[in-house]
Amino acid sequence: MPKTGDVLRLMENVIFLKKYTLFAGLNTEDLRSLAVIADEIEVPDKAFAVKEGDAGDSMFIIKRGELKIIKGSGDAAVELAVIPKNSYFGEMVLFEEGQLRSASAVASGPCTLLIFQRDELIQAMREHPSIAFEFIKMFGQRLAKTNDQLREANKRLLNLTREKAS
Amino acid sequence: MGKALSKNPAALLFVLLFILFASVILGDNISDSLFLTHFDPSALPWMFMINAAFLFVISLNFITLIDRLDRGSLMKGVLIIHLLVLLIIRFLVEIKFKYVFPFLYSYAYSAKMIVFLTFWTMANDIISAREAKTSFPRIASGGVLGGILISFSVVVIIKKIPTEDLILVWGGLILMALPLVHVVHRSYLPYLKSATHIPSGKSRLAQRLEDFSLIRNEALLRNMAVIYFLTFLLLFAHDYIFLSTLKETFISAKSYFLSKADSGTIFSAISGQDTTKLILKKEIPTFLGLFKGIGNSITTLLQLTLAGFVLKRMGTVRSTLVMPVLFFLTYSLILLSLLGYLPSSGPAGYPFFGNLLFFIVLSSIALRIAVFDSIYSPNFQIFFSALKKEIRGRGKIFIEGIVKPFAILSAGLIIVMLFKRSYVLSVSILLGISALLLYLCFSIRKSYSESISRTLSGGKTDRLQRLMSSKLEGESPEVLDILEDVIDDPDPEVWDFAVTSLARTGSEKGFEILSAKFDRSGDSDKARMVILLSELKENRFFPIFAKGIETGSVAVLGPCIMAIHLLDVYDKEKRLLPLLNHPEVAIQVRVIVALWTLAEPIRQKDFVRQLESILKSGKMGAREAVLFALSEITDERLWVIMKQTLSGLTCAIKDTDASLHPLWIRALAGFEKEEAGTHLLRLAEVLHVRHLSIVESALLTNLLHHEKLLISALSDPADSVRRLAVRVLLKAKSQLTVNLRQAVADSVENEIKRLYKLSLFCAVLNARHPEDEVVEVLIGTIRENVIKRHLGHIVNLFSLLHPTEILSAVPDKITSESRHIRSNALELLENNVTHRHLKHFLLLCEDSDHETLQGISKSVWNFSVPDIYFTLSALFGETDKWVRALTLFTAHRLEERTGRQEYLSALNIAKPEVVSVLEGLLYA
Repeated sequence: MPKTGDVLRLMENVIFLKKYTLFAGLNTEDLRSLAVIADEIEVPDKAFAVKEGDAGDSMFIIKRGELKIIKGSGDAAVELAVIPKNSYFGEMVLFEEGQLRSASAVASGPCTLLIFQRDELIQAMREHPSIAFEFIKMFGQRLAKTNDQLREANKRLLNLTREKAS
Repeated sequence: MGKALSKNPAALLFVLLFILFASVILGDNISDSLFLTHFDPSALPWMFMINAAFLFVISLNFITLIDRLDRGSLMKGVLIIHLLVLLIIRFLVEIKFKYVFPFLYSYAYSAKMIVFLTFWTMANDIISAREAKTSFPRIASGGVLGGILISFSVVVIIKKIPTEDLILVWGGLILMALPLVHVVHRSYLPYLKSATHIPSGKSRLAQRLEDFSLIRNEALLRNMAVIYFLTFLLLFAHDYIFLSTLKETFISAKSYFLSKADSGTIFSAISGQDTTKLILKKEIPTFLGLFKGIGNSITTLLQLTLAGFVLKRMGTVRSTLVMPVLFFLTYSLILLSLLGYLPSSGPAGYPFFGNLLFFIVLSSIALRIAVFDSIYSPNFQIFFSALKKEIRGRGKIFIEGIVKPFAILSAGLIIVMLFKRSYVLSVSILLGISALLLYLCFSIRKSYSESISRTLSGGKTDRLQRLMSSKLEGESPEVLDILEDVIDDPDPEVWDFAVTSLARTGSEKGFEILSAKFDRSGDSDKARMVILLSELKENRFFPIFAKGIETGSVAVLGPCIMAIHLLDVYDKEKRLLPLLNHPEVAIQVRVIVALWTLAEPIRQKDFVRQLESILKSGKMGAREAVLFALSEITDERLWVIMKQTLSGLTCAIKDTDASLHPLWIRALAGFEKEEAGTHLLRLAEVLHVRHLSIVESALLTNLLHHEKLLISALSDPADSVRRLAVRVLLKAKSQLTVNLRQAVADSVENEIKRLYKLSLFCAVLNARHPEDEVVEVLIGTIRENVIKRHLGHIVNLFSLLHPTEILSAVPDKITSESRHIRSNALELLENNVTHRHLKHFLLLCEDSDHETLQGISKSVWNFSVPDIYFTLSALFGETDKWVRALTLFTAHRLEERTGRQEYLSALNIAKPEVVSVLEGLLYA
């Protein structure tokens, strides 16, 4: 039975995951196993969804609203990025249990988040390997993008070095 | 260049070919004119041979590059180099270097070939084989249009710009093509990336040898080369016959032309010039210009209209027959005419002048030009799509750059040697070659299908397969020492590997290590070791198993009994009999299994009674133990026990203990009774997919003995049961009976009809609620869970009707995300299956054409557009639980949104029941 105890909520989450998230490539049965383990929470405006330095044990998908990623606190706080609706964060916990959060996530307006606990997510991957495959695809794409960025940066660095040398 | 154009590769390639073709035709005109102006025409035959040699040398160098560079960059590079060479040539013309003209003549020929083959290789990479059938003729028409336009333009331009300066116009056209190539490159970069790399440290010779060895090993390419060679040989000979008959006909009509001659010609004739030459010099180019102009216009018209339809309708393989048939008919008619079997005169008047032979040749050549450019040539390009990408370019160069020049040379030699001796003999030989070509085109289906099949199945190399299947031979002392060290490794996989490898060495030392390991191991390791050793079924391990029996541990006893059961040892019974009364039922049944075949019938009856009493005892694990016995002993007399085990269960699937499902399958597989088959079939409805292949094997013999059961399974309401029955039939590889064949044929029709119905429902839902996210997911689920799965199922049905190994890779690839892979799979089907519903099926797989699909769906089902209520009601009757759940959820959401009760009423569900029905579907 789903944690929400509500089959209608489960259906809504299956549809949300299929339609808007990185799991769009999964079939409905695999999505059900994700929707079943997803907790849904409401985060009020300016509240912290995660805090820098906390031990991370879950991954999030933003169902409604958006979050700001902030590094540091008080006057030293720097806004790194804004994560829009339907995006995910905290996925690196899949690789290291208890890894500390490297930045904070603060709600920018009221938000609804789907939370996936690490252990449950890994269990779901074991039972439905297609979920793990979607993560592999996502990490592969990210790696390819990083490689391109590195190549581009390297090229610029080389040009700069040449310019300076001449 | 607009974004819309870059999204449509055919339009973009059409424009690009238009410019490239225009540049090539202009280049041909310039090189011909400049050569003929500065050299005598008698040098032309030599130039043909030099052209062939020149092309051969360029191809040899180009072959190492084409598959190893990004093809967009390669096309750009080719055009830039081409442009630079033209500028150098213009400079050499300027300084009046005389030998630049023969060079230009040969260069223009080779540049044309290289530009075209790079272009078509790029087109093959971007457009899949299926799309190519409609796209390639249209793209080719761009070329012909470019050619026509530039031909007419030259007449005007030549009056204002000297021929030498037209070289710059030629270069200008190349320059115009470059930005287009850039757009193609940028828009389709992923398709154009190189498939292999330039090997470092390899000599040029070694690279070329590797290139040719790859080409030689590709059967399709070999067949294509032979076909191409023979086609061009016949084509050049055809051209020769055409030109020679044209000349003869026009000479014989000298009086006609003189009567129509203008004053200039008459004056020249009066002044003593050769009138025949005068007529030929004027009339032949006029006739050829007219003929080619009309011919090209008809070709373009064909390319834009009929060609795509014909290619799609006839299929790739059948379309290759067009040219050989044409050649065969042409040469047959020419031969009959030469032998006097046809009327002596043809149509009177210009241009035939009563010459029947010329009438035959002219008609056939007009037909040939149209068919060659609009059907044969684009179709031939489609074959390259079946080749692996890493050799596609090299294959093309091999055909265009090496085979073609060779065909030109051979045709020249045949013409020179044969036609001078005997016209009839030459035409007879050409007729024979046409027949051979016809035969080869018939047989290309096999190599084409095999090539696609290899591309689809990924094609592990033989070397890799040998490596993968090779096993470690651990007979050397060093290996035994290593294995002895690792046999105590805590990692179970390393441990298993060490035990298996030591057992396989067959050496005394290996046995001693294993025996010592057994002695010092705990019960669970002992049991695992016995299981591993028992797989080898070797009597020399009996002492280890006997030691296991003596331990008395239940965990070790079971595997040891089963291991001894597999050996051929004399005191088996003596060792095992005392265990028949062991307190553990699992041990008792294993002894029964081990001794069953050795026992007398009376003793077997005792065993049956013992099994019955175990079952009735109600002890823990009793049912599992009996099922184990039933799965190991194949004896119809045990059906009584089976029935008792099933008692209380209407079907094996009702067993709530899912861990027993594999045992149920194996137990039921031992009985050939129809009832056992029914139970197995019903298991398909609930089993996890990993167990389905066990059910398939279990059903193999059963279903083949019960035709009625099999036929009813083919029309079972449960999708999984129908799919299972078909896979069993495929696995059995046996000849279908008449009734079964009919049932399979009916299934094809019903399944296709059903998929059209579902496609139509998807279209209706989409049309009525285009923005609704729930409807969108419902449509996606219908396509994914039902339509896509059944496409593979229908391919399996086709495979039953047309048994061939070649289709085995198709079911998995027919729904591939890659257009190229999907297209190749469909090509295999189209060329190996003849079924009246195949074209409907192919349309279902090519989801690009939704409108046609919807139209056909309506005609198949005689529907007016059904309302969404009807659609929801029909979808709720589907067996896929997710289609049902999403249909119900869609109805629920629509009812909440609109307040209309009809949505749920159509499903016969009251609003308060929605949650419980959904829970029943999703949590059952």
